[in-house]
Amino acid sequence: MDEREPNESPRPAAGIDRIIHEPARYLIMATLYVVESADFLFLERQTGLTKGNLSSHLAKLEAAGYVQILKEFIQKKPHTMLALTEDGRKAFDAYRQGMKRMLNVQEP
Amino acid sequence: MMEDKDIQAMEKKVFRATVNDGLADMRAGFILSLFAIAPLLSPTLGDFWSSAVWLPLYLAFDILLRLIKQRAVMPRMGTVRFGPARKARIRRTMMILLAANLVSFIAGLVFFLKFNKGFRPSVWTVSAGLALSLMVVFTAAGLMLQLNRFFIYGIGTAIATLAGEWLFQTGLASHHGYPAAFGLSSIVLIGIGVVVLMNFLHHHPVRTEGKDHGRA
Repeated sequence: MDEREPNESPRPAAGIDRIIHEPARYLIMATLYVVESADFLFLERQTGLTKGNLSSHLAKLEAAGYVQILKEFIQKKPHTMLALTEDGRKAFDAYRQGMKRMLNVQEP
Repeated sequence: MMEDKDIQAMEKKVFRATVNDGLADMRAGFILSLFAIAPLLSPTLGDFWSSAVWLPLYLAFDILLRLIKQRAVMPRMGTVRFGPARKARIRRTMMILLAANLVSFIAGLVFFLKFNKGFRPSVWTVSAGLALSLMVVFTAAGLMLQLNRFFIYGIGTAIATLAGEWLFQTGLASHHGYPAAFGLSSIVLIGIGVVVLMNFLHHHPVRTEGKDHGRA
């Protein structure tokens, strides 16, 4: 009997980046993928996520090295610019390719 | 999972979100007002000054639109910088707009010089030329801004130009129908712009970056 956890399967799904696979993070990555950079407010508007939710997902993406966060003050107000890193772009491309492969494999 | 076309659609959606604030509609409407006002002022101020007096008004309107963008729209929308593909697309469309304006200007100049030498083309030729120029300019603007309603503006103003000429021919409007056609077009475009802007402001309350995002 196979005692592996479902997400430890050796099938194509195993190659899928679980950091990006979460829907909110995927949306953040996709939005940042199509622009050069965006600020926190713009991302909040586009994704529809709450500030806290967006912050925590961004922290995970930053920890993974996918997102670069630049903090600055504009007229004494905090301003955060966000951009995908080179690794982030590569990871997003790889994720899309991986998903495409997986869906092709699973087609009857 | 996103295909390439979905990525393109996503980029288009994100870009459109940054320009769909009604300000472009208002700007286009104000530019059209020149065609409505100049013919009315022409008998008293002459051809040059009837157009020239409009320029300071446009400058004031331009400053007002920039202030609205900076003070009301940006704090609600946020800031975004687009990639090289989008910048190249904007540059290409700007070139089309510039070329269309240049061709119209040269055509106008040639017409003016020939007119002074006794050349009298059909009024419908002039109206059709202007209608075509407006369609090209609005189409280019629609492509650049990815706003489909600009294509409708192009068709609408082209029809208005011809309708104005028809009203003039039937004695129902003055000055080849320009004040009526372009005055109405101008009011409609500025009105749509105001509605879009109000809608945007209503649905996007001001948000500032708070403590939560500081963790990011």
